[in-house]
Amino acid sequence: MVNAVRATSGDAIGRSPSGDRAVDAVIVGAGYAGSIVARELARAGKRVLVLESGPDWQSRDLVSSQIWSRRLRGGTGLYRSQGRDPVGIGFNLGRGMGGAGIHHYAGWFRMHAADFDVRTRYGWQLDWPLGYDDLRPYYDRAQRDVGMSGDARAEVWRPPGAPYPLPPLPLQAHGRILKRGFDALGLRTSPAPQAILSRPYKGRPACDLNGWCDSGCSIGALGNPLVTFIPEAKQAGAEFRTGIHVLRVLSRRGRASGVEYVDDRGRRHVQEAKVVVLAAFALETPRLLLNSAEGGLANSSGLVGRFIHVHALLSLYGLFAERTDIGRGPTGAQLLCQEDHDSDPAKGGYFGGYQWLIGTSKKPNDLAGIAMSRADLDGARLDAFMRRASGHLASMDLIGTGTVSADNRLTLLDERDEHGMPIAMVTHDHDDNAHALQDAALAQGLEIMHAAGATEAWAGARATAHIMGGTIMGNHPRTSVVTSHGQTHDLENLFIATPGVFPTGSSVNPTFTQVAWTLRSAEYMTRHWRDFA
Amino acid sequence: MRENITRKVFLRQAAGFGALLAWASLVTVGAPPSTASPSSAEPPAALEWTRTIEAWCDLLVPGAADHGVVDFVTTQLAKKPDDALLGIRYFDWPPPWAGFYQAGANALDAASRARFGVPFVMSSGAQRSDLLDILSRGELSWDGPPFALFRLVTRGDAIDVVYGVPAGYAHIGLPYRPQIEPVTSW
Repeated sequence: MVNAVRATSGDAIGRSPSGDRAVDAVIVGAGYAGSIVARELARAGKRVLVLESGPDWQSRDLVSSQIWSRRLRGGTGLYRSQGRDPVGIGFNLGRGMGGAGIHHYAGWFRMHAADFDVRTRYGWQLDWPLGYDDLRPYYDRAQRDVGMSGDARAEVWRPPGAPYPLPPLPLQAHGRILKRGFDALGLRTSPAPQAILSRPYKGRPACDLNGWCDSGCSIGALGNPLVTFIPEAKQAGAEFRTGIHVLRVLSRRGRASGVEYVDDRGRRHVQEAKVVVLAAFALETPRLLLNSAEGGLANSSGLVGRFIHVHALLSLYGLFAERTDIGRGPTGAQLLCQEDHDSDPAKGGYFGGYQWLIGTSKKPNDLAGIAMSRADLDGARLDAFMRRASGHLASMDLIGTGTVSADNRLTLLDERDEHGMPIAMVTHDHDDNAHALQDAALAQGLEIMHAAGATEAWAGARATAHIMGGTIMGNHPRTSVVTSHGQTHDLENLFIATPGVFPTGSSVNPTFTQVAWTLRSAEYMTRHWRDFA
Repeated sequence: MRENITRKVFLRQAAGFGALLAWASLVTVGAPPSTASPSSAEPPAALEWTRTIEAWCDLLVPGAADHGVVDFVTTQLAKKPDDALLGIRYFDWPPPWAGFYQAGANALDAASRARFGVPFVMSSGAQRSDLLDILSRGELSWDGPPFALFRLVTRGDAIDVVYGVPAGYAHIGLPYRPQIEPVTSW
């Protein structure tokens, strides 16, 4: 790691030529977390300013094209990825209003009660400083906020909670075909719970089932921040500014005092605030903290940037004699199987668990497209495959428990971006356990495909999905960066609201938990404002 | 472009869903003079690599040349990386990316010369297919970005222009059903 601090002390920065009017809270990042905190604080009467580096996307900008969808991704050139199992960064990050939320697939799953204390239960990985019961009411609130569809009763593995406000999306042919395989092997499935509308809700239309989740749902059926928390935050009085690149969190005498940023014309500013909230996802947040002070701000634990973790990802494919209509339905999944969610090591083979996201709709191109399912094919063989697969392919994705290690980390390089901030390196290796889990899932996945009647079945490459950790939460300042509410142990008026606070990742997609956790954190901020602001 | 300044670039694995291969951790590639795409103001040498890329993409995905793969690549290389629509951004390869394409094209030419005595664009269709097979098996020296990544990225570009547009959907019998139809393909 290099010495990241470019400027001098916070006091010197305070003499910046263009200081902006102080606010109650400045929030960095306008994704789910940033817009949720903005909404809650603005509703509590606070003057809130949200600074976002990317464009001011509107739903009308979400063009139906896998080619155009790439401009929605963030972090380009700001991070390097290395290791035996490198984190896929470019595909995961967002950019602009809505953050990664505008291209995520909206598979929203609750973590199970046993996921929150795997250290205590099994002596493995880390405990969360809160339990399922602490999050349960916020899961319930979140699913009402965005309008979730699903069948809580059919999800036999689901922890207790309110039923979904909307019924499941209709099952498409490729989901129905794959379900045969699960049924034949005695594996239970349920409709996949999704932050996608199956019926009109709060003035938004139901999903058209055309599979444009990745390029951004322009009709607003998918509950991304553009159609949920951002307009509500604005209505409550929060201000959002785009094209703003925050360089550092400023601090004086053990408190955060604001942020230093560069606007879209290259002018440097200081924005003072009573409270600073970093909601810039799991990678930019530790990059900012490490760039904010010698040795990193809020880093007395030395853990800022450490414990980056991801999910193990594996895609299974099958070709079927009948038509699958793989272009129909949501991108993320139609059905869910969590039969192997349990982390109990007594089951043998590996620790942790996985879920199957069944019946993922496909477009021809892009990283998760039909052509990438057979990356070995070229020329006429590729064309023959494309024409066959468009009518007869079905697929499902494994999301599995990842590796939690302090050695998987983000550090700063000497190389700098256009604004002078150090580029970050993300290093990640899976342990043998994650590979053993993928091996087991691969074998089961092929068996399911054949049981479903596939004439050919195969798996894609082992990969990673979702990015968590880097600023983990915990009860003790020596072993964590923030509290269970995201308050940094070192600076009481500096908060973090990203999946970077997750000490472990379970084996479910993290967005639902991120949203619920942020609702809880924002409520804490409003109730205890006088204690730290 | 081999005579251009070279620099050491940490090459990270092709990550995300596409993590297919472990690449060398440190290689040397030709660095481009700028991120600008070829234009009439650029020397002929700068255009040469686009002809190689075009022929190569057409080998990987027949029709890529006619469907404008060079226009796609060069127009995107001319944009700021944040706005570029190239699939390479998913492989966490650091921008600017023109050097990636140029170095790959140069490596293809060198391999073709070594094998057949002619640059890639001068080789026959059969020779090009042979070269792809040989390079895929790692049986010929390759002095460029990791071959597997180069193939994956350029194959993706070709797939974008052939199959990722409404006409391509129609070709394979997949209804496009846009919510908002793109005004231009890229």
